[in-house]
Amino acid sequence: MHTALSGLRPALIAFAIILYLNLVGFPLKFGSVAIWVFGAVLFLISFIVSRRAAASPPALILTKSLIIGLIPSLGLALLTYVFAGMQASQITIQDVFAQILPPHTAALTGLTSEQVIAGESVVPGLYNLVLILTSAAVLGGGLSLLPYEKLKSLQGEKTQGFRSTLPLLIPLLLFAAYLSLGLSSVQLFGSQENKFGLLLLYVFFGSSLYALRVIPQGRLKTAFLIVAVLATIAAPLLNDQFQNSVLGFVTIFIIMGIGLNIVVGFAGLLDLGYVAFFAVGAYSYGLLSSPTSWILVNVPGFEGITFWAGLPIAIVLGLMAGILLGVPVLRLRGDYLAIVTLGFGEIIRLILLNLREFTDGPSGVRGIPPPDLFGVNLGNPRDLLFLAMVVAAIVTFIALRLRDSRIGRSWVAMREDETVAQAMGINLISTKLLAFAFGAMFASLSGVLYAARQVNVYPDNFALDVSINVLALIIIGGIGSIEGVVIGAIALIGLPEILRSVNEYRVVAFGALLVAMMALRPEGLLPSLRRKRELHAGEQENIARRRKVPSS
Amino acid sequence: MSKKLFTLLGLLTIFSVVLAACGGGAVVAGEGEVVVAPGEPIRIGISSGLTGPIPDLGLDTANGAILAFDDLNAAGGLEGHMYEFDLQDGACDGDQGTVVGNLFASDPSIVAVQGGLCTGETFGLREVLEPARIPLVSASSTFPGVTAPEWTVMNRTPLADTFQSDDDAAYIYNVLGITSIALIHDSSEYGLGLAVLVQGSFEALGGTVTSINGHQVGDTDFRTTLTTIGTEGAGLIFFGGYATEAGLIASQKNEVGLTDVIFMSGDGALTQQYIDAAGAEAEGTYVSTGVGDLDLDKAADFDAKYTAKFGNAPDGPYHYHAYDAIMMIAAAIAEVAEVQDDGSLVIDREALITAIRSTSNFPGITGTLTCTEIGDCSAGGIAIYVVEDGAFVQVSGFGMTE
Amino acid sequence: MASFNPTKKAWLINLGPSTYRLVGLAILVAALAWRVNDVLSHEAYTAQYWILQLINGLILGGLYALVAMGYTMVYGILLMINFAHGEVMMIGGFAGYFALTGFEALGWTTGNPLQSGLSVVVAVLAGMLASLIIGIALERIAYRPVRNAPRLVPLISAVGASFFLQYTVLLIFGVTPHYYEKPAIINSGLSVGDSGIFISYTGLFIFFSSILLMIMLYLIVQRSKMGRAMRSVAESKEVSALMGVNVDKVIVFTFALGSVLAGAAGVMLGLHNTVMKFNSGFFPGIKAFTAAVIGGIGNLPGALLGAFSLGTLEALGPSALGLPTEYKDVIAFSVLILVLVFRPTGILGEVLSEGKA
Repeated sequence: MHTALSGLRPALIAFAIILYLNLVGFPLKFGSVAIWVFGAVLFLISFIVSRRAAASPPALILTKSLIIGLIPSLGLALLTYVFAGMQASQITIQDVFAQILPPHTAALTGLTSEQVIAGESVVPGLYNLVLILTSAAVLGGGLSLLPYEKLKSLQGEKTQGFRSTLPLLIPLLLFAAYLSLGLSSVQLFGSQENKFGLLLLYVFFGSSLYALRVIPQGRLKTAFLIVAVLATIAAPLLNDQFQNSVLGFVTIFIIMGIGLNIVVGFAGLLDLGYVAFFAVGAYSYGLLSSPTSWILVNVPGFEGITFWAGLPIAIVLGLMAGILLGVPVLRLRGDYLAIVTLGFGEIIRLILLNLREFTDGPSGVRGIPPPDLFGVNLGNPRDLLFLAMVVAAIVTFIALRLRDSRIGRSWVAMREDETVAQAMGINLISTKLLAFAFGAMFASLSGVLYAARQVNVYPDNFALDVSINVLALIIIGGIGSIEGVVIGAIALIGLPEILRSVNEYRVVAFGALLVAMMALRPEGLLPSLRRKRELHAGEQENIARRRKVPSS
Repeated sequence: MSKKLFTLLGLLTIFSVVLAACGGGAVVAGEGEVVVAPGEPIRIGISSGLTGPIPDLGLDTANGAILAFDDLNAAGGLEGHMYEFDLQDGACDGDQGTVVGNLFASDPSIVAVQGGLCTGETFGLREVLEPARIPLVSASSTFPGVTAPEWTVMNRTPLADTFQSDDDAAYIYNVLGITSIALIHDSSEYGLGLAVLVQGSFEALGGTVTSINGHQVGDTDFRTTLTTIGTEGAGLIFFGGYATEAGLIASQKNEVGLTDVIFMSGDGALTQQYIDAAGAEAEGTYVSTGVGDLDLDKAADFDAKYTAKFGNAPDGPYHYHAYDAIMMIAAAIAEVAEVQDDGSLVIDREALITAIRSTSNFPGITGTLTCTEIGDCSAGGIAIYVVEDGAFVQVSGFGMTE
Repeated sequence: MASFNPTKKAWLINLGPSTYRLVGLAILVAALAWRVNDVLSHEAYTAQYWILQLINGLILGGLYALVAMGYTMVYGILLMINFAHGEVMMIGGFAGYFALTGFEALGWTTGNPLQSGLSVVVAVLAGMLASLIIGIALERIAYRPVRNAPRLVPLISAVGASFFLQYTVLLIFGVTPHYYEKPAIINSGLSVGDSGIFISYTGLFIFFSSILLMIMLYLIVQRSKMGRAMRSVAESKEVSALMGVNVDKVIVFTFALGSVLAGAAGVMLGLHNTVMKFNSGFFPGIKAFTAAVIGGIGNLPGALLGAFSLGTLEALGPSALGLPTEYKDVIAFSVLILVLVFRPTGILGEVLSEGKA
């Protein structure tokens, strides 16, 4: 359909997106900036649609982009007109649409909210709105007419040499930029400086991991690795308290992610109650060390354990909890396992919440002592981050060794096909139990770190959403891949702390990201190489199959 | 080319090592004082639970605090410096409380913090702000253990739950003449805490508590619990928790046939939402709260400004307390801030902590506030309301002429 | 680790189809019987009490059943957990709320029985319609692109969709819970003589509609042409396509059916418990899925059976075991684990072939 009317479908999609952004309160939150966001949406949609139909005559493309611009902007203008009229006659729209308050209308029409309430005409403002949005769409269509193919091929020839060194240079430049933020002469971001520095660090970590993957083996790679490790060690020394606290939280999730990666990524056992083991670690250390815990109060002469004693105890208890869960679910597979583990996670949380005589219920365990080393108190964000980094390094090492060991290969075999694995002489029971045990052990370890860091822990800290977060982060990062866990933790745990000011949109964006990611790049950001091959092989096969069988 | 890169790598390494050496240790927040440069605002942090289990109360409390900034700045600020807030979402939980605490502690321009909507969140904040020497005033943490001698920075403007439980128990036992009650709580720190306190107070008076049953914030079906309570012969059900659950219990109680059993709840339920949730069944139920010695003119003025600014009337027990918390902090800042020749302000952190703790006879909306030596700065007492024709009508307690 | 050899014989216990599990089951049953007997000898619960709690449990079970059937159908055909199903229900509940609010403004909900009855019917239809739209959109946007991917992929997509829907509703309609006003016609109940036994009309409505809808669904799946196509797709998408079944259409139909049920459940939940908010669907959704698994997932009568068992156990369990009510969810999830330990495919679940479970 090469008529102008084929612009109707993208126009309606664009209208749906803008209507959505409008109703969730972009204009209320961002003021008139929202208009430019809407404009950008229209620009992008119009640009992409036009690029796809690049062979059509320019006049047709421009007409189409005009439609893409006009329909959403007129729709939005009409809606705003109606809302403004209602607000002027004191009808409260927010009983239905919570975000449609007078300032919302004001932001779209260039008035103040007092003027909106007083019933001043919004029409001139709406003309402007339609004008801006429509021109954005037409601009998108117009720009799509430029000859990009030629540009690209030109660029490709010139920058070939530069491109191969780019992955190496980007992280280094980022770290240099991060360092320069620390200079007292650089005062670019005011009180947002620490957040910006953190963002630079995140991208530095991410791009370094990517660089390590693409640089060929050799002295260059070794040198880069050394620099990257040095930078990672230097960063906590240069960070402020907030940055270290956030990174500490990210590192705790990295440890958990590595553990869950063993269970889900290596062994293919879908665990939705992983938080239970995290709780076991946190509560075992907490209950054995907090001066107000039931144990310390009721056992005469027991002064509580130190952090260093808490670690091995938590490892053992975590191991036991892993086997305790593992034994009854040995015969279950796939989704049955998912729901049972979910139930197990909830049971642990509910028991912590309801066994009040022992756990103090919702009041949690309070006053958990921080670790100390030869009399030096490590209870500050920087030292706790270092501690977590050391644990993460050890855990990573163990996970890597496990992956390449005989057990690791048994896990993969079991993941691929239990029946065949069994036929090949793999003992499913012990292999499964080992996966659960290692996963639980790592989660329990991170639980101890968490308790030491938080000082107070509550049953609500161990709710289902932690399990889902950890699962989502290993999948976003790339299931089965250790680097992926780091990227995933940074993206899902670290990034939201920088974007605190738009916190209300965090979960919506997170949900949309998961859906989009699964459709577009299911292997994750930094997939394990084996996984990537599998997924893409599957895709090709499906495409081939679909071609052969015209089913729909 | 590879050689060039090596050189570059080497240079960058040296650069970073040098910087690390120079920058190391530049982390410690607060040199004991805050310097507000000329033209810069005085920044106060607000932590409130804008997400989490009770975002409506969180927003209401934060809005109350924000309104105080408008009034402070309309009055010209302090020595040419305006007041500015930094609102962060403490999500009503300990994790986010810790993160927000660290965020404030790492920002050297933050002078004081108002917040901690929920107890856990306040504990998280307290833990970080105590060593950072940043004073903290909560407007809604009524859990008794929030203030204690070892927490020098921690203060609050509402009454602790202990007062509420004593007065509620006395009202049930002496005025309503009921000797056995059943307790339900929502397994939140606040809800369970209040229920356990009421149990203690009621048993101390000689009453019996037939059972104590738990639910969770967000539960909507209480019929099973209420049916069990129906067999126990209690004359009153007391619920420790928030408005939605309280309203649903009040209405479902009648559905399972407990129409003769009276329903009562605490300050968490004192909102319009409770009445909305219970509908007609709210009639004749009791809700208690710690009220200030309310300055009615100021409160009316506050309500009008609130409605004009946020588009809805204030709804919740703590917006006045939040407003007073900010005003109290501002008064203490005005007391200790020293104006320099260049127009900058120097605020000594220790002096500010002491100044807030020694607040006395401060005229707020919730009454004349005086802080105790552990930081309880509330005025007023407990009031008990009954719902009549869809509105809360006070029947007993503070502010009533006996 | 090097010394460990996973190919050796089982080193812990062998949970084969052996006496171990039977012994375990016997011990468990004996312990529970002892505990219940012990509690009942101390507590003086009357027969009327147990009947009341049974009614509570069956109503709760009816609600679970309406949601569980949607889960079970989607699982039966696509072998995926539609994690966002609870949210589809919640959106239906919101649509019903707004429909009822409209009628309230007209004065119909408190008007004569015809008006108030009509407002209930229209509210349920509005909920069904809204859920239908969301359910189909969900399938098109979140599930179809990942239909052939490994199993974790659609699950995560569903989790993402669940969060997205919850918080979109939060942002658009606000954090304040929306409270239903019961229309006059159902704002009462049925008293059984002087026995003190009372059943609310909303409860009756839920209980009977869950059974009725289950029978209807069962007939659709077993008797209709579309039902045959559904069963064939459940067996094998590829072979069905070869036999001329339009696989996409069948899957959309399944989602539509499940979503319509969920929409009805959402409005009924709202009418029964009188509150709806953005996360109202999440936990009931998880419970309903638990019920579907207990009953044997993929099996419609199983979903109903699982839902009623779960609801009844939640209502009666705490009193029978002498625990406070906060343990009801612990009981529910423990039952799930126990059922699956002893019957890994649920009560009515077929013994699935190796590749399927």
